[in-house]
Amino acid sequence: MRRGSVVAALAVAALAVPVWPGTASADVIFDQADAEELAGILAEAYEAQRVCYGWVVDVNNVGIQESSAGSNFGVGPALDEVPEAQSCETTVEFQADVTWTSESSEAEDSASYQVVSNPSGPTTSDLDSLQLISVDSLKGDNVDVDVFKAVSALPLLAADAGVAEPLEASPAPESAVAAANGAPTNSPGSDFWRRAGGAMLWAGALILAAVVFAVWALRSSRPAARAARAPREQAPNFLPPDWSDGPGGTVPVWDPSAGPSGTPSGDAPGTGRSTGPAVPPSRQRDAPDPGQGPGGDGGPEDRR
Amino acid sequence: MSRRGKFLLAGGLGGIGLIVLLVALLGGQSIRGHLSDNYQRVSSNGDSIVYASNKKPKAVYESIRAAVPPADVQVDPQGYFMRYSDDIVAVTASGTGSRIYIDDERRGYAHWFPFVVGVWGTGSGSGEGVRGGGPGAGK
Repeated sequence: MRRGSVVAALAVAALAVPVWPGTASADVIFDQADAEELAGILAEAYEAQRVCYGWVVDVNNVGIQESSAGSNFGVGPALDEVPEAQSCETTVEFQADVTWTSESSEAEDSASYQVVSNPSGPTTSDLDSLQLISVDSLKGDNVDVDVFKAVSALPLLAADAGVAEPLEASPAPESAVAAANGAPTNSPGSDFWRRAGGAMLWAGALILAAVVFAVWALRSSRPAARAARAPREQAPNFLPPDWSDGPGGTVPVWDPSAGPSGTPSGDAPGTGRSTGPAVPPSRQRDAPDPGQGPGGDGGPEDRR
Repeated sequence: MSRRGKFLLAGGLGGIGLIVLLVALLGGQSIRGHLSDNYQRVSSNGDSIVYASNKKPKAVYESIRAAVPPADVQVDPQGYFMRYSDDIVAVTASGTGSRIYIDDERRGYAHWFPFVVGVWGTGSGSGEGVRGGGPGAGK
C-alpha cells in the first residue's frame, strides 16, 4: 500500500470510526496476519524462556498519529498495557518512532528505535550488531520486514545476554517440505559478486583511470615534440638544380651548368619527389630577385 | 608535470588497480571454505555438514556474516538462517555453544522449511511472499 492511499484510508477511518485512547492498530506497519504471526513467535519464546517480549512502533504518518504494537500476549496493546505483563520478571521490548512527511513537504522522513530491557537484558547496540534494521530501513519501503526481523531476534538477544535460556532448533525431515510441495525460489545471486563486487568495481575504475591518464600523457607530449622538430622542417633543404650558392656562400645565384647533383638525396629536378618548396620549373628562373638573377644587371627581359 | 611523471602516475594507478583486482579475485573464501577452516566438523551427509562452536550463536552468526556476506538473513527465536547462492546456513544454540548447519539450497530449504517458508520459497501454508505489506514509500 502506498503512502497516499494510507493517508486517505486513515483520513476516512478517522472520520468514520471513533478512536479510543490506548487502542493501537497493528496494520500501520503489518498486515494483520503478519502481526498475529509475530505475536505467535513471541508467545512460543515466552513459553520456553519466561521472558516477556513486545514491540511498539509509533508512526506519525503525515500528521496522523498511529501505532503498531503487540507482545507475546497478543496483537494490539503494548506490553505496559497488558495486565498479565505485570507478572513478567523480565521484559524486552522493541520501540521505534517513525515520521513520514508528505511528498510535497521539504521536511525529511525521520526515524529512531531502541531496545528497552527491564530490569536488564539486550540493548540497542546488541540489535545493531545483527545488522537487521537501521534508521534508514525504518524510513524505507520494507519497514514491515525489518521490524519483523528485529522483533523476532529479541529472544535470541535475550539468550545471548544471559537473561533467558537459548532455544535450539533441529532440522526438519525433508519429507515435510515434499509434503508441502515447497521449493526454494528467487535465486539470491552470485556470492562472488556480493563479496568482491565492490573491489572489482574499484579495480576497474583504477585501471580505466590509468589507461585514460596514459593516453592523455601521450597526447599532451606530442605537440611539444612537433614544436621541437618544426624549425628543421622549415629550413630549405635543397636548391633548384640551376641555382647554387653565390661567391659569399649565402646568396644563391643562377648557375646553368649546375646539374642534378645540387639536389638533396640525389632527387632529379622536376620529378616532384623532392621535399623542398615546390616551384614549377618554368618559374624557377623568374623567382629570384631580378637584380640577383642571371644576367642580374637588369636586362630588359628581367624588367618586364 | 613532465611526461615521465605522467607515465609514472598512470603506471601507479594501473598497478594499484591490478593489485585490487588480484585481491578481489584471489582473496576471500566460499561459505563452505570458511566454515571448514574455522569450525569443528561434527557430521556430514553428502553436501550437508554440521559444525560445532563453543561460541554463542550471536557471535558465530556475526563472524560468518562478516566473513562471507549472505544474500539474505532470516531470524527466529531458535536461530539465524543465512541464504547464499547455492547454500543455506543455519546457526542455532547447542548447550552453551552453537551448531552450524550447511546444506545445499534445496536440502537446506527442506531442513529449515518452518523458518523460511514463504520468504525463500514456496510451500503450502506459507505466506507466499514478503511478510507485511505495510505502508511503503519513504521519501
